[in-house]
Amino acid sequence: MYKLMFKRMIAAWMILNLLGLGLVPAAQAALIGTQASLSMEQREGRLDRIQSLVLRQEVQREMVTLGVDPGAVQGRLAALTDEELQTLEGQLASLPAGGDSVLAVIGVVFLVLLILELVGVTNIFKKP
Amino acid sequence: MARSGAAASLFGILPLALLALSGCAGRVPVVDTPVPPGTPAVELVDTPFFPQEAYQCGPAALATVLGAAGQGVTPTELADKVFLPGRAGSLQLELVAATRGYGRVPYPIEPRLDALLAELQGGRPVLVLQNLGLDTYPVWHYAVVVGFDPGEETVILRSGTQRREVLPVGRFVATWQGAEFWGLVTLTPGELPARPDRSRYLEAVAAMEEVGQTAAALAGYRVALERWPDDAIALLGYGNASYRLGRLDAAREVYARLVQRYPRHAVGHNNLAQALADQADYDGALAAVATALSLSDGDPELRQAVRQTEQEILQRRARAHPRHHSSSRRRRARRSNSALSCASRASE
Repeated sequence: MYKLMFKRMIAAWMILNLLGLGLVPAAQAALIGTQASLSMEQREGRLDRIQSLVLRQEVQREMVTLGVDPGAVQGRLAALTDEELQTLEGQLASLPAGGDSVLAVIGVVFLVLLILELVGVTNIFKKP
Repeated sequence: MARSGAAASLFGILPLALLALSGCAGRVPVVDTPVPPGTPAVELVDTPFFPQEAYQCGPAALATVLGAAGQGVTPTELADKVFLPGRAGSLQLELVAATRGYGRVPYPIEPRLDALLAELQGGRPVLVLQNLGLDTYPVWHYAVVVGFDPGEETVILRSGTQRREVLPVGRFVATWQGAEFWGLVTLTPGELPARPDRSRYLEAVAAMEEVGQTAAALAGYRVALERWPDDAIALLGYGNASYRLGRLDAAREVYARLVQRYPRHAVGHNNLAQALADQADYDGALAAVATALSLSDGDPELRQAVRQTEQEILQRRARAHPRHHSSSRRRRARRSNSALSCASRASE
C-alpha cells in the first residue's frame, strides 16, 4: 500500500521534472495562487496538478500531429494557462487559424468564378 | 494569345469578386457600435511593417504589434512559436502565449469598434483576426489596424503584403465581425490599456503570473491597484507576486491590507499566515490560519489547502523550537512526503 503510494509519488515527481516544471521550493508550499483562488471562486476550469499535466501532454501530442517540431512544443505550451489549454484540447484542428489570405482568397474566388462559369452566368474563360 | 486574354479578364474581375466576398456575400455588414462622433483621425505611421511570407500572417502581425511595443522580433523567429504547419496558419491563443514569452501582457480588447478606436487614440496598434471568406468557408487572416480616417470613413491596416491597406469601415467591420471582433494589444508591464476593463485586465495579468512572468505580473497588479485600490484580486495578486519574488515585507503588508478590507477573505488569511511564518512570526501565523480555517467551512478543497498551511506552520515552529514539541521527530520523518504533496499544489 505504502510502497504503491511511494511509487506514485516518485512517478509524479519524475513527470514534473520531465515537463520542466520542477519542484517549487518548500518555502512557497502553502501559498494559494491568484489563479487558483480565481478558479476556486468560479468553480469551473479547475484542474489539479495531475489533470493539468495530462492535459498538457494531450495538447502537446496534437501539436506534434499538426507538424510542430517536438523539441519546440514544450516551450510553446509553457506560456499557456490551464484554462487556455482546456480551450485548445481537441480543438486544434477546428479553431480559426489565420494563414495566408491571398492564396486562400484566390482559391475561393476561383471556385466562385468556376461555379458562375459552369452555370452559365459568366463567360470569362472563353474568348471569342 | 487567347490564354493571356482570359487571364487578363480574370484579373480584371478579381477585385470585384474580392469585394463581393468580403463585403456583401454571406453576411450583412453590421456595425456593432457606431463610430463615436468626434473621433479624430489617427494613423500610427511609425508602426513597423513586415511583409507576410506564405501562410505567415500570424507571425508578421504579431511582430508588428510587438515591434510597436518596443520588442523587436522578426516574423521568422515568431513562426517557430506560433505557426501550425498542419493548419497552414496560427491560432489566436498561440499568439497570446508568444506575447507572454516576450514579456508583454496580451490584452484582448472589448469586442467593439469603439474599443479598437480608443486603443488607436492611445497610440497602440491593434492586432485583429478577420474572416476574409464566408461564414461557411472561412478564410482567417491576421492584420494590424494602425489608423482611422473619420472623413473618408476608412481604417488603415498593415496587412499581408500591403504596408498601407485602406478599407471602408463597413467592410472592415464585416470581416472583423466574422472573427467575433477579436482584437489584441500587447502591453508593456505596468501599462494600462486605453479603456481598461477591470476583470479583463486582471485576468491578463493573472495569466502572466500563472506562466511564471512574475515581475511583469507584479507591475500589472501595481498599476491595477492604482486604478482600483480596493480590488481583492489585485491585492491578492500583488501579494502573491511579491511573495514569489522574495519580497516578504511587501507581501505581508498587502495581505494584511486585503484581510483588513475583506475580513472574510479566507485565501488572504491563509497567505498572510504563510508570509508571517516565513518571517518566523509563528503565533501571528497560527492566528491567521485559524481565521482562514473558520472561513473555509463550506469549501472542502480550500479547507484542505488551509489545513496544509497549518501543518506546515506547526512543523516549522517545531523545527525552530524542537524542545517544546516531543512529536517533532516523527513530523520530521514525514517531512519529505508532505513537502512533495505541498509542492504539487503550490504551482496551481
